[in-house]
Amino acid sequence: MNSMVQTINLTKKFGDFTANNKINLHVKEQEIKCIVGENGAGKSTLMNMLYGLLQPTDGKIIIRGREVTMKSPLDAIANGIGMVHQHFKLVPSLTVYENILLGLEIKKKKGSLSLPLIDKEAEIKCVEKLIRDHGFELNPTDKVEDISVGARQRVEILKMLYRNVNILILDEPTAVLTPQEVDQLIHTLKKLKEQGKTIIVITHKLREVMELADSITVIKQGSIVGDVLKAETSERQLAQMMVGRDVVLRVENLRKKSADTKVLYETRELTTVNETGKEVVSDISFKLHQGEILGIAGVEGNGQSELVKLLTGLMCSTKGNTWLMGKDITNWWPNQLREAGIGIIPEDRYAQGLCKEMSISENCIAGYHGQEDICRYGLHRTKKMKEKRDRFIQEFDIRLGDPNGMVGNLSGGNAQKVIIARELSAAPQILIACQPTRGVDIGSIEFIHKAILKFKEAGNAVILVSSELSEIMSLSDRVIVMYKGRISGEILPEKTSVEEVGLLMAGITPTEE
Amino acid sequence: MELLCNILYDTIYHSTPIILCVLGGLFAYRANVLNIALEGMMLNAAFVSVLVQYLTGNIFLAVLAAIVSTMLWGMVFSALGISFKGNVIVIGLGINLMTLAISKFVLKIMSLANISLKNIGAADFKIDIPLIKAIPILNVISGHPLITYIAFLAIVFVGILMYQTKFGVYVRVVGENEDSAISLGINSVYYKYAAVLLGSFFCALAGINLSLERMAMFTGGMTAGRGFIAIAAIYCGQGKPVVSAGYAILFGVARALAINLSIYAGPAAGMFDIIPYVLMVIVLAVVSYLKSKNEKLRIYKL
Repeated sequence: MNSMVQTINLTKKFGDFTANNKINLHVKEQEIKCIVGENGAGKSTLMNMLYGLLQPTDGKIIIRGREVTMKSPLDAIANGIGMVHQHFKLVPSLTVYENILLGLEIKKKKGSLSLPLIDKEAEIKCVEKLIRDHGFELNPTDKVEDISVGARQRVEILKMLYRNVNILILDEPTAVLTPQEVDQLIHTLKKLKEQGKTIIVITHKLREVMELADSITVIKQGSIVGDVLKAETSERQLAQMMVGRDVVLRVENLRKKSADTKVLYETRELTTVNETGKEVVSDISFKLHQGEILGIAGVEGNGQSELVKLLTGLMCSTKGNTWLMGKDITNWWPNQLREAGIGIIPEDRYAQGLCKEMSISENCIAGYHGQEDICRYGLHRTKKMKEKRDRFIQEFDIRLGDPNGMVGNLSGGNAQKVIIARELSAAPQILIACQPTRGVDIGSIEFIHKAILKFKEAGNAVILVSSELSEIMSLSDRVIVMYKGRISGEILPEKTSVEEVGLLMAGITPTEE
Repeated sequence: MELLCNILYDTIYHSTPIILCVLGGLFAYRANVLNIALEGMMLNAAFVSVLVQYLTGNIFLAVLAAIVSTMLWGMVFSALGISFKGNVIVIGLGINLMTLAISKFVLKIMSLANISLKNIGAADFKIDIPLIKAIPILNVISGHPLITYIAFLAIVFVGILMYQTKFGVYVRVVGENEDSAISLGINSVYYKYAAVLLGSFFCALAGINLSLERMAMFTGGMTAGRGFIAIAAIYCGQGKPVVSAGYAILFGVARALAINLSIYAGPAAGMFDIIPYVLMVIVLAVVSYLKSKNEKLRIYKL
């Protein structure tokens, strides 16, 4: 088979930081190449260079034996390269067909004269044909803001196919899909491969790599550390290459029967609306028992974010109540919740968890800054704050360059550990953890999972919200699945298959026998 | 009856500059470049058109100079705000202050309190529409200067431009998801420039209408906050051409009422001038309340 994409010593530097160091990538025609690596390993930088979004500092890109320089995505598309980004580049208020044809609009014609107006009917017909040709399920006149994430991804793929690309790059395509949608995507990609397309997939989910790839390239800290064929490797070997050491892919979890322990936390019919008045959380009722981790699963955007905001005091409910050990805490503010014994690991660590511009020690007390050991006569005791910080650094293995520096200088994993240290050391009884390991390296994931389990085993309770299904399934004692703001089902992870959870995530409730 | 006719006529008369400003600001608003320099641009056109007419006596030269100079301000705004990524609020404020200062400075040099044109009067600009002129009540549509007719036709034109053409789609895409535009090779900088410059063109028309066409004179600061009223109208109409123009007309109604009612107010007449501004605050407050009525988030968004 011929070489399709090749890079020779491709290097990208951002100031002093080398994001990609002498990458020699080699993708054959009509193969599915997976590029794996941890967050921040430089996968996206590499792909952005191939798609013309970034210009290499050094090195060459060779497409079908011809050296090319790409100054913009337009050049990449002209060279037959299309990219589906992790965060879709769609315009929500436009329809499916408008998004697909964006930049290539069909104009109205009067005889041989081209009018400056857009011919909507011709556009719809054109997109309908495209959808039929590829056997996709989409309605061209739906607005993108109204369709599911999986459908949006299909729009992105079609957008590229319409531009006649034969090399398709997908950046983390499965991150936001249900397991069934992932299967569907794998099927689609394999079919596209049969039609003669070359596909490059960036991912860090090794199980999908094993199902999808023909060959795999592993990137670590900006360099290629492995180049293997699927047939000759295993999930474990890939993980080892990614991290550079043996990793535990699963944590030990002693599951407990929780029904017989005390109820610590309860919500009943919790409901709220978004700014347009649409109900985004509807009638959420659950009980959280002592010594239990309750997982909340679901495809992103099905109300989990809003539910967490409700539970952590960042949003008000329109209906329903929350109780902590029999006390009504509905719509309390975050500081009141923390005082009452609820630890909060928020969804977005830089938006709600930390203040990037402030020092590590200040972030170590944020949210607990009024407590007596830290604050006396309304003044902060800097020495005590630093002591606390040093204790956290030691106990939670936070790795940093300068302890007096800003929290924004820490890596994702270490920044997350600052939050976890802060919340757990305040000795809460309930921990609400939302996406606790998002964008965190494998080593820190292991650490954070262990910390959460230890917290639970000490007789406390955890609400764990995550879009990583594997995380939910391995940590939780009980899982509720959310779909369109409602609970679509409750399951026990050890007795349920991923497929069953996937159906619930897609809103399909199994009929009672 | 006559009062009603006067109010209707004045509504059209006073809506014109605000409508033009709204149409001008719309594209920038949709392209996510908030242009608060509408006021300054309009004032510049008002001043330059009357000044050039005063000095040369050539009406075409006056109009041309007003449009070109206002679009130069648009270039200044775009270059600083888009190319050099400056803060558009500060730049806009700067332009508003500078155009005001320049016009007052020139008036001072010329030792004039205001420029009144002698060779041409407001009546010379009025165009009667045959037929309609003779119909009672409806005749309020007739007897306006050219730009007034242009302004109302432009509402339809801008509606088509915004929703039916590539240009409009791209401007909206650039404003809503710039990454998406860039990833498809749409030059977002070009469309932002175009949006701002198109805005300056409409502001120039507004300014010419305000000073030259309607009054054949210029006084310092005669725009009197209309540019900001236009921004309020755009905001209330969420950048939709027809709805925003509707709010512009609402403010036109307020001014028409203020002027016609003040005749009966005797010594308190001056107080009626505040009606449009009070209305603006009330409308803004009500629209904002309706928008945020369902906001359950406690996080403050910037």
